[in-house]
Amino acid sequence: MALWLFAVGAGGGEPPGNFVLVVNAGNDVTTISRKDAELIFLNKQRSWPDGKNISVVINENPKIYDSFSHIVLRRSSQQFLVFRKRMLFRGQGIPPPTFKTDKDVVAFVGEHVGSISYVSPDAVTLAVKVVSILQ
Amino acid sequence: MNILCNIRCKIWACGSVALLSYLAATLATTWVNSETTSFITHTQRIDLPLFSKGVLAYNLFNAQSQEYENGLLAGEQGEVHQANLLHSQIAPLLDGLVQLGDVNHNDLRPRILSLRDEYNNYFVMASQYYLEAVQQIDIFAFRNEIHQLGKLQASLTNDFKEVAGSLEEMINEDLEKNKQRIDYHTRLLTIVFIMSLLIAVLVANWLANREIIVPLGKIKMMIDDFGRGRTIEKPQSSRGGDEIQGLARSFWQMTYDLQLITVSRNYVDNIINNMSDSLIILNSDLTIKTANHATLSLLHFSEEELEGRSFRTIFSHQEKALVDSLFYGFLEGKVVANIEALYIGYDELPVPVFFSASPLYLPDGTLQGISCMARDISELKKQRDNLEFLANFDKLTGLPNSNLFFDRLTVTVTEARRYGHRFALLYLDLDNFKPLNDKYGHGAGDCALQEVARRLKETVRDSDTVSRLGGDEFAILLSRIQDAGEATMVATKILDIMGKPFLIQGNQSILGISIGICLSSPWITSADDLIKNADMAMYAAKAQGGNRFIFSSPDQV
Repeated sequence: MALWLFAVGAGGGEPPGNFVLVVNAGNDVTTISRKDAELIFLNKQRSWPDGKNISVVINENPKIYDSFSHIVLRRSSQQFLVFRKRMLFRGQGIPPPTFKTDKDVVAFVGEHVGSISYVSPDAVTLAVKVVSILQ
Repeated sequence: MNILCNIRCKIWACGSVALLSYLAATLATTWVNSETTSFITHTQRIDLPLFSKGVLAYNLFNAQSQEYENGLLAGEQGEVHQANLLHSQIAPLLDGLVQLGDVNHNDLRPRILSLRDEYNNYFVMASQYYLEAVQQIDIFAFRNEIHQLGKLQASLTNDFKEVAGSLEEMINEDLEKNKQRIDYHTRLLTIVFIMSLLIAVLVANWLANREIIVPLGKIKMMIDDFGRGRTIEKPQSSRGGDEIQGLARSFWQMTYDLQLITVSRNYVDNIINNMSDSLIILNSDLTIKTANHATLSLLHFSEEELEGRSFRTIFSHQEKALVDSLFYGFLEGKVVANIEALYIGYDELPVPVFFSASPLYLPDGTLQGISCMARDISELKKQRDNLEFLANFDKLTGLPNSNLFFDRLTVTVTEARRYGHRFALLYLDLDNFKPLNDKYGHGAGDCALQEVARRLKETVRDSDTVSRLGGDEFAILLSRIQDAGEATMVATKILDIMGKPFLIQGNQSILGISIGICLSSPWITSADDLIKNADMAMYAAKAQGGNRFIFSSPDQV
């Protein structure tokens, strides 16, 4: 099984990943496919396998924001921004909470059970759990 | 007042029925077209503008939403302003929809009203928050408000779409209804036209039949009856009758006048059938067309046996040549009157008639036939024959009397003088007739005279003439003798035969006879002289004792 941390799995020409997906430490999920991750962050998959609601958190840390958009969402950060604006404009959903720093993100994810986000690898704490991305 | 007082009015009545039916059909068409126009006008004035405004409002709202979206995504305030400007078009359209929706669209009106109110509320918020969001750069700062606006905008989009769809459905429904209405009206008009045509035809036919054909048919029947010789009833006269009734009355009047001035056929038939003379009408081909009762009674034929047969049927075969000549002469226009002819009856017995005939011609000169009239002269002929017999013959003996004898003698004298023939006249007188007559009576005398006549006829040739001149005097004319010897021989035979006894009332008697003979000679030129000479010779014989003959002149012996 090719279980890669995103930093490891960024081979095949992709720019080296500098982020990891994190979930609440109480979440049973340990791996997630890239496609599922894309659907989750595009508000198209809204619950975990155990039925709990997914709460997406946007990390606008400029060090990882672009790479996350490119690698996981397969679009530019601007495109992702337009997507979120359009979703908001059309009333299709309230945009997820957005933070500027890894620290705020980790704190939020650590406090909310169903949340998921991405942070720099060195910002991971025990309050969150890193989830491996399966290509 | 009778509106059908003349043929012109009747024809106009038939035409008017057709025109009325045409008018009824036209009125029905006008009504139907008016109804259709009304519905189409409603569609044009109400439903179609509703539909157009609904669709336009929906498109403008979509354009406004797109402008807002573009403005928010791109952060362009200008596009948000453009979107706000579209409100000035959308709001009047929605107001117009509300006003139009008041007319017969009770189901749509609440939805349009609701849509207008929701849109106005939406626009109040959208024009405020979208602009503020754009001005704040980060639209996520108004995420809750914009999210609510987004949901409201999505809901309005659906409402606009539904209203436009309902209006489209309404306009389609209107068109479908109009189409069905036109189909229905087309069928209705077809039925109306057919019924109108049918009624027009039936009524016109009834009128024409009642007012024209039947009256004309009655006139035809009158003419046919008149042609058959029947009595024609006077047509019922109604005041103000039309030309046909006038024609019927005039025709009846004509027949009435004709009856007054002409002899009716029955009258003529009665005369013909009761006339005593035979009348036969022949066709131009000389076959019998008809015969009156007198003909049938005369010839003992039935009418059926005569009709169609040749004219030769009624004529004796002995006269065939004469009859053929006569009848073919009739065909050329010849006429005969009161000629004697012999008809032949059914029993093949001849019937003598006076026959008259003349050809009959049609007014155009064509030969129609031949009229043959005949009068039975059987009795007349018998009487005439009897008179003739009495004038020339002796009733008792049947021998020519003195008149006929003198006539024949005169003819013989004339022929002898012309051709040089010789003849002899024997004058005879019974010697003992008077005593016999006195003894046995006149009846016995008459029987004796009849026997004398029979014996005398036996002694001469058929060409000779034996005559009783009266009483017991007889005369014999021997025509064409060679000489006196022939006269002597005859006289001798007479004496011989007369010498035989006569059986008179059972008794035999001898009657002698004295004979004076006068031979023809150039100097005796008249019958009187001959008789005179013979008479004298007879008296000479009687003077010599009778029962002998003596020539009037010794030279003649």
